[in-house]
Formats: sequence, C-alpha cells, structure tokens
Amino acid sequence: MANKDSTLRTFTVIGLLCFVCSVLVCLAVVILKPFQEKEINVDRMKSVLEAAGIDYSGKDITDLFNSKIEARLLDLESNRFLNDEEVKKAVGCDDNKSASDCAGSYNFVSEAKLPGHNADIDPAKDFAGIKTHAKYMPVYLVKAEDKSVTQIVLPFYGQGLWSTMYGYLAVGADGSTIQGLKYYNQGETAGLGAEVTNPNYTAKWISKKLYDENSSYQFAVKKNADGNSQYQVDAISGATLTSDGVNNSVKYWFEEVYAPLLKQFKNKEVK
Amino acid sequence: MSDLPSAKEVFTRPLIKDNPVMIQVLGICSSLAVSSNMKTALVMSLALTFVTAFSNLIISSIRKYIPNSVRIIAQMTVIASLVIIVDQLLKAFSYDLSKQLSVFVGLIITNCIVMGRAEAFAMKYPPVLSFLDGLGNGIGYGIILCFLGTVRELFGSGKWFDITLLKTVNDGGWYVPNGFMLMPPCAFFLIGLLIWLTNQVYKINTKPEYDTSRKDAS
Amino acid sequence: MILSIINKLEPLFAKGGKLEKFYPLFEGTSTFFYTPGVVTHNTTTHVRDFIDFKRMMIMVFFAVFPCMFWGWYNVGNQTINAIASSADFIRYTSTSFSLFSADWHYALVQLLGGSLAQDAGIYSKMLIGAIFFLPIYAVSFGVGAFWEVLFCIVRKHEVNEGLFVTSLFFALIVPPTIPLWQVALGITFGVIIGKEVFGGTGRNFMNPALVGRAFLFFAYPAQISGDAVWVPVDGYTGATALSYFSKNGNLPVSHLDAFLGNLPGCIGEGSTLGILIGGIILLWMGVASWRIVLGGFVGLIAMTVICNTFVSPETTNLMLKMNFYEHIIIGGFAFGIFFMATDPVSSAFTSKGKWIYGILIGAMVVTIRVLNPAYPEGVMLAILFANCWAPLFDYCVSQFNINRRKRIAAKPKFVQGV
Repeated sequence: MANKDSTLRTFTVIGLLCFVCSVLVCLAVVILKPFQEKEINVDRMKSVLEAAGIDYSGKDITDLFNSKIEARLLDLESNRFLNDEEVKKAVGCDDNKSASDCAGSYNFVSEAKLPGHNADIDPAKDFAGIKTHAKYMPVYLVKAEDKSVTQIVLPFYGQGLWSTMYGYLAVGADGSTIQGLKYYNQGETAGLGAEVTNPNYTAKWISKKLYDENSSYQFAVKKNADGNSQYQVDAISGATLTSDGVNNSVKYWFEEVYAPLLKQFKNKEVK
Repeated sequence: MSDLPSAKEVFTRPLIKDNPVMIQVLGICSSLAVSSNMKTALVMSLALTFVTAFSNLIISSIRKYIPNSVRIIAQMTVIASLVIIVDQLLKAFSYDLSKQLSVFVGLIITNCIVMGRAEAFAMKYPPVLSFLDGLGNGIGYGIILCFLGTVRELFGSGKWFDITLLKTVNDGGWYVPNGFMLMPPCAFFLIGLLIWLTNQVYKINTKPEYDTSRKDAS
Repeated sequence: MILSIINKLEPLFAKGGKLEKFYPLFEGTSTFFYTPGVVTHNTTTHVRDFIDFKRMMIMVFFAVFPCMFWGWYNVGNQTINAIASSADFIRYTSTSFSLFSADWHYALVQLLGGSLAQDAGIYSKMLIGAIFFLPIYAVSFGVGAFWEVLFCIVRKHEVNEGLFVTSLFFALIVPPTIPLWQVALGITFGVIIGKEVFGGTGRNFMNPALVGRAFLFFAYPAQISGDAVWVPVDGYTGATALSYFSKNGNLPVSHLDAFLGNLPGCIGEGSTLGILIGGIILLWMGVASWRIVLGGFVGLIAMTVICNTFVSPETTNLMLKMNFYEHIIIGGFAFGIFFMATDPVSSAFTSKGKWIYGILIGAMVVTIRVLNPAYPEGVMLAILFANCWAPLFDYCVSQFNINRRKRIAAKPKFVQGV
C-alpha cells in the first residue's frame, strides 16, 4: 500500500482509468449516433406535420412525412430552390440520404452565425431582432396525391420577451392564408407568453391572411384585434411583449423574406 | 472494518431521515430547475439514481487503487463518463425529454450528491454497500423531486404526468393555474417548507443559535 | 363601556381560565382599544423605540385613511366613466343585477340606493368603491388574522396590531377586480412566508403585505397586472398611467389629475395628494422615518436625471424620457415610499442605513420601470429588494462606527501633568 501514492502509480492508475472511461464514452457516442439523428429528425418532422395540420398519432412519422412532404432549400438571395446536387453540397450529406432529408437537416440557426454562410440583415428591417440569417432556408412543400403543392410550411424565428422563439407557419395554396402555426422552441413565461404553443391559441390564426390582393403585407398580431378583419389575430392575453415579438418575427420573415416565394406559390409556379 | 453498517440501514437512511436534499441540502440547483413537471422530475431522478449508484459501485471497487493525491479527479472521471453515457442514451431514445432537461443531465456531473457520496462513502466502504448507499441517496433525491414535481405541475398547470386533472381556464375549464408554481424560485419555498416539516417531525435543530430575550439573559 | 366588558372577560382568558388557549385573541382585541397595562418587555421582538409598537401601528392605520377614501371614490368614478363609455351601457343602467351572480357588486350598489348611470353622485361613487374594496379588506383581514392567531396559539405569543396594517395595506395595493380567493391566497403567503416562518412580527425582514402581493404578481399575472384589471367593468381596458406612458410617451391624463389620483390603478396608490396628507402626518409624528422618504426621493430623482441625460434621441424605450415628477405622481411610488418602505421592522435602523436604504429604493424603482421591458411598475420589487439589503446596511454602518471609535480610542492620549 505504501507505494500507492508514488508518482509512477498515480500516473499509471489515472492513465488507465481515463483510457477505459474514454473508450466507454466513445463507444456510447458512436453506437447511439444514428438513433439520435433519427430522433432529432422525427422531432422536426412532428413539428412540421403539426404546423401543416396533419394528424400523425399512431402512424410511422418518417413514412408519413416522406409520403406527404418534400423539403427543399430556398436560396434567400435569388429566391429559387437549390437542385439536389447543390443541396447535398450545401449541407454536406452523403449519397445515402435523399435530397429531401438532406434539406431538412440543414441547420439554419447555426449557419446564421457562421461567417461566409450567413448574410447580415439591414438593421432598419430587422424586426425580428436576429441580426443575421443563413444563406438558405429549408422550406417544406406539402403535396397532394397528384403531386401538386397544396401548402408550404415555412420556418421562422425571432426575439420574444425572454428568448428567441422558433416556429413553423403553414401557408395555403393562395400564398396568403395561414393554415397552421407551431412554435417548437421558446422560453417565454409559462402560462402567459408560453401560451403561444397552446393549440387553442394557435387555432385563432387559421384562415387569417398574410397579404391583401395586391400582395402587400397586412397581417398583424395585436391587442383587441378586429374580429371581422381577416388580417388581424388577437394577442395572447397578459403577454403583450411576447405577442409583439411574434408579430415582429412574422412581419420580418413574411414581409422581407418569404414574400417573393409566396407570390410564386400564388401564381402556381412552385412545383 | 469491523463496524460496517447494515445494508438495510445504508439503504433506508437517506430516504427520509438523512435525505440529501432536505437534511444535507445538496443538489438544490437541479431540483429547482427540473421539477416543474412530473415527467422531467422522474427522468432526472432516475438518471441521478443510476449515476450515483454505479459511480459508487465503480469507485468503491477500485478505491484501493486510487492514489490519494488525485482521488477527486479519479472520481470525477468515472462520474463524468457515466453522465455522458446517460445523456447520450436519453438523446437517442427520448429526444423530447432530453430537450426539456437540456443542460441539467450534463450537470449531474457537478451535482453535490454524487460527488459527496463518492467521497464520503464509496471511498471507505465495500462495493455492495456503496451501491446501496448510492441507490438510497438517488431515491431520496427522487422522492423530493417527485413531490415537488407533483405539487408544481398540479397547481402550476393543472396536470400530473401530462394528464389533465384540473382543467385550466385557457383550455376552457375553471382552474386558474398558479404561474408562480412553474418558476424555479417556487421550488425553493417548497423545499424550505419541507425542511421545516422534517425539522418538526424529527425535532432537529429546534433551539435557536442565540436567544435575545431578556428572560434568558438574566 | 368596552373597558368594562374587557375587564369582565379577562379572567376567562387568564391562566387557568376556561379559554386560556385563546388568550392571544383576547389580548389583541383589548389592546386595540386601550393602551395595554403591560408595555413591551420580555419579548424578543421589535424594541428599538420609545413609542409602543401597538400605538405606532394604529397611527399608520389611520394615516392611510385619506388615500383609502380617495381610492373608494376613484374606483367608483372610474367605473361610472367606463360604463358611460362602454358600448352596452344600457345593460348596466337598466338591468337590475342579481346578488347571486358574477355581478353581485353591482347588485349591492343598486340595493343600497346607488346608481350606475352617468350622472351618479359622490354617494354612488363612494359606495361602488366601498363595495369593491371592503370585501377585499375583509378577506385579507379575516384570513390574515386566522393565520396570525393560529401561530400565536401554537407559539404562545401575543397577537399584535401589525396585522391590521398589513391587511389594510395589502387590500390597498391590489387591483379592485382581484378575485377574493386570490386575496386569501396572497395574504396567506404574505403572513406565513413573509412573517411567521421567521418568527413573527419584528423578526421578518420583508414587508409581509408586499411579499403577498409579489406572490400574486408572479402566480396570477393576468389578474394583477395588464390593462384589463384596474376598472371593474367587463371588457373595459384602462391601462395604468405607467403602461400607457411606456407605449405612448405621454400621460393619459393631465398632471393635476395624476397628482389628485384621477386615473386607474391599484385602490390605494392613486392619489398622491391623499398619500402626502397621511404621509406627512406620519413623518411629523415621527412614526415614519423622514430619512427613508427623503432618501427615496433623492434616489428617484437622481436616477431619472441620469436616464434623461443619457437617453439617445431615437430610442424606442419611451420610459427613458419620463420626468422625475411624473415618476412621483403616477404609479405606486408615493404610497410605497411613505407607507411600505418606512415599515420599521423591515427597513434599516441606523440613520445612515436609512438614507442608503431610501436611495436604493428610489433608484431601483426607476431602474425597473425604465429598463425592464416586462414590468411597467417597479415599486413593489424595489422595496422588497431594499428590504433584503437593509440588515447589511445596518451592519456596515455599525461596524464603521465601531471602527471609528476604536481608532479614536487607540490614538495616544495627551498625558495631563500631575
């Protein structure tokens, strides 16, 4: 026992311990990686399906998603979709993955922070308070049996009261009617701002319109919204600042970013 | 080691009487953060119990080889490895929960209960006893967490394990949820009240440190 | 007459009497009417002044009357105005309400001969205010007393008048529309967590009424903040002057109206004039500390001047542009600094400590109002915050004095010739 504390013993024991532990940890990470990726994917698919108003209970999420929805990458500068090769290059997927899966796994949040992969937002137009956006955005096309696009689900995000709030908005075939809202990540006050995830609240958004006939942006989330107006949604009661945040992020993304795409969609140019 | 405590004693003592949260006031940070609903509270308790039990087991079985000068680092290595494995497992099989628990699973590494048991118990006693001690402490933590989770979820959102028990006003019911219950400081008050209760029951520390009344001074 | 009843009843509650257990209850009632035969001694509570604690609390109790009565009138006045401008005012003026419905307040007004019409007189307005205020006060007092007496019986100490003040203050700093069960919950939390767990009156380091309100504020923000809770008319939103200012950059009413208290808000905080009357009486009698009050004003003015000076012209935070006198006349600052901050138990005790304590409150009020986007009002949190610091201020001041005297004592003394 006396030489338990000798320098050599100390190094040997700790070295061995570290080696064994690191092998175990590495094994766990490597073995579990595919499971984790699948879980992250499924989580994202659920959110998109929910925004699109497709009931997924009791079904295989991946199959359902792939049969109804196709993900594309939208180049925000030129407002066109990337083709399959460009998508794979942009995201860095291997060939086993379908282009749709690949586009869906594009991480627009971390890309928005990478110099060279992002673009600055004009501060005067940065209603959402996010400063930069990624070069591309994943866009989800919901397709009917005959492969025509019936709905587009668009990701958007912006500052709320306490946190950055991430959500999907589903827009119908006229390129203006809201068909679903799903916030999938937010840290607002529980019971007040966080009610933005309550289906009872998001139901109020459905069939409101983003643009008027001349494609100019009209939508607003406001207190005491005019019940007859098709462009106004009531703010969350007791959560003025979160509601302002929601209003501003929708305003930024749908007035500044997605308006041209939705116009193409309205004119049936999106396939 | 002639005076080994009995296995039953080692396992049951930390459940209530020597509870790590209530009596030793350890592991408060995570119990404030993850006890706003039952699901996260339960998963966190299980994760912590797993880590405490197995880190105690492993550390105890190699305790005779661990050099004294670096024993904390050695314990840390074992604990950290176990925590990472738990974290990876959660991410792989229960992504939703791991999203809600966020950093707190990773922070089990720094949870005082785990380190405390490794240093105070596993380094001195044989593996099986240490395992039981870890198990008991983990469950002791879990009991508190589940109690907090029950109170907070029930009164904060009218649910228990996501099952609606009190229908809230926002969902068209009658119950006005108590938003304070969902905030971390609330758990602080609840733990305080629990400590008060156990002190009353076990008559611990009922004499104040000093008494300012004149009667006693004279 | 009351005295004779008290004297007759006393043996019943004394040691060995039938109702011995309820002695605290008896003691509390009798000393509210008469100076107790025994003045504070042999207790572990608050003995730092020559004035008896009970007398002091009763004076505070009467000093809030001006702003309380104004509060009644104002609640009535706001209600009448809101009804007159509401779309379905016919419903309010021509229906006779049932006592057993959600509108029982209105039913009671009608029963007692009040009117809800636009030409309602001062009697109706006072009546409406009283009908909204008194139930809140009754609940807050009843529930508060229940806990107080319970703890007194268990711990065998005496009920004291702190509760009268706590429950009255609590009723004055909530919105008139607050549900009564929330009042009960709030005062419960205030009395137990804010006071009794620390050993009862004199040992609490925070103001129990504010602790109770803070609890409600975080637990039920929809019922205690926002725009819809200040005027008891369904669907009528009357923003408080503070939240109006933060959106529009000016006051909804004239400065004179704001000073008189002609605007929606918590029941008691409205009239700066009424608060000044009561507050100055307290200062004059020495019950409230002028150091704290003056410190509060100094802190508030200093902080506002800093905000006003360093504000950039294109800021979106309109609160930065608010003047110091506007900060004083709107919101709960006047009520807070005169009545809540000067609570002798939870404030600082040393003279210097009081100054710092007051300044901290004033500065924090402005900081929270101006720089925190979520809370238009900051008085409650500012006072609670300063409560936490008060013991530290006292400690530092007394240590400073001890050290100074030590230094003086250590100086070599001039040796007088023999």
